[in-house]
Amino acid sequence: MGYDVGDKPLNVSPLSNIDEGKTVKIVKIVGGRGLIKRLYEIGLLPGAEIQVLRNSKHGPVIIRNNVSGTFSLGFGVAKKIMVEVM
Amino acid sequence: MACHEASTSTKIKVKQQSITVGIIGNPNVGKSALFNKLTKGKAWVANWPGVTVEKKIGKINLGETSFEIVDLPGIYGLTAYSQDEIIARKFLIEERPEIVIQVVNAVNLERNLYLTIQLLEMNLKLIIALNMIDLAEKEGVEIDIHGLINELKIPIIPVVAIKEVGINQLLETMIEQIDRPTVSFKLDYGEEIEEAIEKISKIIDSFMGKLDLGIDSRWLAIRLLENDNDVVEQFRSRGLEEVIRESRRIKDELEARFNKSIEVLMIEKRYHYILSLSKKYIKRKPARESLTIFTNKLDRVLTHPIIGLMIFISVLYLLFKLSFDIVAPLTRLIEIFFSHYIYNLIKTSFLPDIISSLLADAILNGVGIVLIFIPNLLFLFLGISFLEDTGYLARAAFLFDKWMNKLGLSGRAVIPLLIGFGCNVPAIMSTRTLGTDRDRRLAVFMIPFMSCSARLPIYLLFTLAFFKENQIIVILSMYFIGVVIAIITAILFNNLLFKGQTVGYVMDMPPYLIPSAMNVFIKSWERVKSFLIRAGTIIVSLMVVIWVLSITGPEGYLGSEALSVPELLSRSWIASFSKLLEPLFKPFNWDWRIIASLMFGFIAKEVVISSLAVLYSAGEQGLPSVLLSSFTPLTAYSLMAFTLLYTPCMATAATIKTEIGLRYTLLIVSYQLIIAYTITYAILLIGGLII
Ligand SMILES: Nc1nc2c(ncn2[C@@H]2O[C@H](COP(=O)(O)OP(=O)(O)OP(=O)(O)O)[C@@H](O)[C@H]2O)c(=O)[nH]1
Repeated sequence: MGYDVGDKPLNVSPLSNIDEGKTVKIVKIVGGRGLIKRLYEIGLLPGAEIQVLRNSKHGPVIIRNNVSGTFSLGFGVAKKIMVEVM
Repeated sequence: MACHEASTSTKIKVKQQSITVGIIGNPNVGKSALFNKLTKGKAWVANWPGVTVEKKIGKINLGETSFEIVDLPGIYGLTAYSQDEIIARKFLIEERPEIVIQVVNAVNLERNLYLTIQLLEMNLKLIIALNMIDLAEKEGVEIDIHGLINELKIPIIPVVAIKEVGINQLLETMIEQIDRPTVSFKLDYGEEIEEAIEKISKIIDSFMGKLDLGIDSRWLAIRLLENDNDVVEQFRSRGLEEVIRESRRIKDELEARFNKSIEVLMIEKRYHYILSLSKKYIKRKPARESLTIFTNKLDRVLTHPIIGLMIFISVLYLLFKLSFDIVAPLTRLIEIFFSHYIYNLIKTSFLPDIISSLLADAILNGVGIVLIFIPNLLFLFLGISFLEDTGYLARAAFLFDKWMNKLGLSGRAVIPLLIGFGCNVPAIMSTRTLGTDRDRRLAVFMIPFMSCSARLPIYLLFTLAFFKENQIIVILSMYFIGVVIAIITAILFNNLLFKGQTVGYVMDMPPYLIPSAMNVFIKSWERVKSFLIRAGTIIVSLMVVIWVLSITGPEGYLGSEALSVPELLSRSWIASFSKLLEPLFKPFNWDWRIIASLMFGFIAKEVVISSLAVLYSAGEQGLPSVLLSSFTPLTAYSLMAFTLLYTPCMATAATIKTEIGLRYTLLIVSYQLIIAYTITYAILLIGGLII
């Protein structure tokens, strides 16, 4: 998996909107410095590919990739992660 | 990308002296398991200075060297968010342990390497315990350990913390490392950032005389660029505003050039480096027996919004059922032993009356109350630690996150709250796992309203006397009132005292594992011990106070018989206070005897019943009939509600104090008194209208 940020992402939406089972690539995190740092530190940074394991669309989500392992993120956090469906 | 040079600054040479070893790592990587293996389960608990978070220390002797091993809370990086994380960070930076063992999870090594890089940058003497290699192998993860050692220039020891694998080698490496120089590590952040680091280090160097941090200037420069508040504070407190100003200027300049946050850029650089390491040294093959796939499958069921919730409720029911039913005889045995056997032994001894009463009625009773909690606590904690180590608790938190968010809490808070129905004491202790102080306090404010099992006897007694036909509904209504008030409390304090929201919920979901019995047991016992020592002393002292106030009164010493003779007790300080309070309870039509019983109820809620029996001169068997003649169903119901709400019991209050401090304890107690009074008033008003 690479961590390169694509030029002009076509299909960007918040992680909270992504269907279960989809694999997406993080494009940008829109949030405070604190949240950005926390997510970056666990390997969720632009370019990272993640698989959406659980998402009810109005609650927390569960995601995973090889670098970070499995994490659950609150709805508020998931809304701030902009991703591109692959 | 990274280069190394052996530094000549070796400071520790002294033998005999004990060497501090910090165990650090991401959450859930097996730090506690490794700590237990290294210290052979022999550890003690102290407090971190200034906070109520516990510090686990173990001493071991290897040859002529003794090591003091410290288990640190889990962190992902040096940026700290919760109190736990701040402690770990402070320990590394301020106490600078001679050796640091970073426990890493071999299954997703990359994420762990982020912290490794930050530790290397600090020039700490680092050993990596590459843990969970058993799982990594099954998962098909192959790590070229020699390659990594060559690249990072630090010892990397493969271990399985729950077995004996690698433990001896780790101990040997610790001894070897004492005399080895620290390896200085340098990650190349790219031309522009390196230039900035250089500039800031120069400025720092020019003030070196004033700095006694014992940390090299490159690291300080990096932390200044990353806006590390603690480091900024260190400079400020030494009057080095100029350094802060200059570094800000350089940082701003750089950010303007990149049009991007430098902090973010630096993290990206670190990950670039990690991914280059990953490419070279980590291979992922198809899993032989993948725990990840198994975990994902199980999660389809256990995190399902409906099925998952049903399973969770069943698990919780089972936990309570087991921990309360199994231990009931044991609890009873302790009770008989203390409140009958030893009690009578002391009472019939040749000691002077007042001494034997102090020993038996105050101290022994207090010790008895503390000990009676132990079987329940131990079993509840065993259950909780077991569920925690399987990885299931993280799922429960996930299931409830949405609902708890509405109360301003994260999903994790649901566990302490539910434990509260069993007993408030372990519930309050388990709020330690909540991320921030704010979340912790909010949860602690809610817990006393969870109707614990000690309140049930009171409901049973009153419903038996007054609500024979609707017993279950009436009892359930108590639980309902408690939950509703807890929710209102959360909303109220969320807006008043604990403004702001819970920090974004980001939680590691560990794979499902079969816990190691030793770890589960050690963890549970540590928690029980902490209750015994901390809350125990408070409880026994409070018992003595209550005892003094019962056997003395405005006229002076009444004699220890006051505890069982209503006429005498009615002249005690407790009775005097109760009579003083009578006007306040006039609207409720409660006389001083009820008020006095409620005061005794502070000892433990079920004591309300025995106190009523003494004061109304009824044996416990005759109490229902005595109550029937002096209470109406409405007064009975209102008294039940009042008992539910009015104050946490002594053990709970003592636990609240040790966990979040005296100020909040007093606030909680007064808040609960006001709530209890208001709700009881409302019940009587509404009840009066209906009947
Ligand atoms: N299979 C396997 N399981 C392990 C190993 N090390 C630890 N575990 C399990 O991993 C889980 C987490 O271990 P802990 O020791 O509680 O981890 P920790 O890092 O102290 O966790 P926190 O204190 O929550 O940060 C437990 O269920 C352990 O039994 C290992 O080497 N192999």
